[in-house]
Amino acid sequence: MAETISTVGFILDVLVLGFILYLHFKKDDRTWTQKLGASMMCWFLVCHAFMHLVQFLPTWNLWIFDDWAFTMYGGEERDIVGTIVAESLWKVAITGFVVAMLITPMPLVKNANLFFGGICLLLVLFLWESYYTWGHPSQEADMVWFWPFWSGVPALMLLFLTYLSWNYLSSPEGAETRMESFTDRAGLFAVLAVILWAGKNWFDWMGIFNDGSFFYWDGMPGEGWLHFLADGIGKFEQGMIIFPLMVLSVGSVIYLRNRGSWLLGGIILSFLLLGIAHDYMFGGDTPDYGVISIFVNEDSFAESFALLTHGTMQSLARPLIVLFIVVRFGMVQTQHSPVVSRAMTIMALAGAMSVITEILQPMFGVPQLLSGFFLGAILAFEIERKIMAAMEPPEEENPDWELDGCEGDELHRRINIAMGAYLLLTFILALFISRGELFI
Amino acid sequence: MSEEEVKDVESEEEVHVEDATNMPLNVAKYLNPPERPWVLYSFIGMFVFFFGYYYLRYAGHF
Repeated sequence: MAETISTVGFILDVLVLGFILYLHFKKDDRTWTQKLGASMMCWFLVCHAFMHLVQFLPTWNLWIFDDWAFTMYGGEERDIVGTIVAESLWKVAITGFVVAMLITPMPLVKNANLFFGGICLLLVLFLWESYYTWGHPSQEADMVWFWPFWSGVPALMLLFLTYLSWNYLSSPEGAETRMESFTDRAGLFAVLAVILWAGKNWFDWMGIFNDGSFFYWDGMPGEGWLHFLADGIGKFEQGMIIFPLMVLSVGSVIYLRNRGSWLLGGIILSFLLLGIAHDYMFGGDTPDYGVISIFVNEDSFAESFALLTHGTMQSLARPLIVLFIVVRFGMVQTQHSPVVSRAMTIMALAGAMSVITEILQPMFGVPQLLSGFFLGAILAFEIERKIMAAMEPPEEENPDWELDGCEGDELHRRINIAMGAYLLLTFILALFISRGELFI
Repeated sequence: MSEEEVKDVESEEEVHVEDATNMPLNVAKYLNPPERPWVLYSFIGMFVFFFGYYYLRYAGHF
């Protein structure tokens, strides 16, 4: 079943990517921040589609994968080229969200050259990190195995996104000032981004709240500052997965009190409740099947629950969240093709519903025909039209922000080139490393 | 119109003119809204509480 989720996730990634690209190249009145945001979401989807590809394609035994051996996930062989490329794609996806976070809906850095220089520096550090973890330094006897930037940057990004989310969730209803209208939109983007990046771990990491070994130091005393740094970054990264859940849970209670909207507040609290349920049932040595077997199929419940929570959040929710982001924040304009937009929404709905009902079948013993019946009924009632209407951006101000140094469109072009160049360079680096030329 | 009222109107006009431009807003105020200064402090407080909680558990205080 797990590879089926990857297949559906891959299809959704490709569909959403194609949908964004189709609308992205239409000429319209979008601002440069919206266009740049659309490009960054495309980079994320390229990475995510590739991740799914390497998960399910090896199971198909295609001859090309015998040569490239993309079996880093669960396979016996770890191919260096495939691993470095996969890591680099994740780093590009992280960079894409860092850029989107810094420009949605207003650029936080006014100087375009400074902005671009910062992104280039980040990509150079990512490139150096690939060399550090796979190249010559990895052959040193005293090498400390860690990813200072792959671990540290998303943790810092999540910390900042969590703050933006907190600012939004704790604000009163109705933006009273121009400033608050922008911070509210930044906060909504941040909530979605936090759920996208950290949400899948919230279900099965809930036990960390009871973990007394969080500050246990892996490195032995006197082993050097690099061990200290590696442990510190590792703990910070671990903490930044669960810390947002705590902040968003508190924020969602305030949000419900202030605005009374269960859609966003309820979704966040459901993460908390499902995580507590998961920890209660599976957090101990022996799952309490006595409780759950009363109403479910106990043999497959643990696996099904993990797929329903972690699996669907990783494979299905991410492309759907990206779809919501690009439409809600005007990164693409669906008016160019209402038919294609409707088809995209139907595919998203069908993909999500079919997988969820497929997983629920063994849990609750729902016959396949019945789940198919409900899926058909949902589509027949044209719920996709309501979803499309809910995603459409409200009437709000979208200034074409001015920058110092260069135009926004020029910055957009430069960042895309930098990310493409980074991927090419890491691929070349991986080829050299795989031949042993950078081990010497 | 008194002198103070004239000043208020002028400052409102200045704000309006500034708002109408496409220059990005003040980032410090954007991230730490002056109307709600507690947002940043409460966030820092939650951060300290979160890691403090783990440290106290690690130290065996509860």
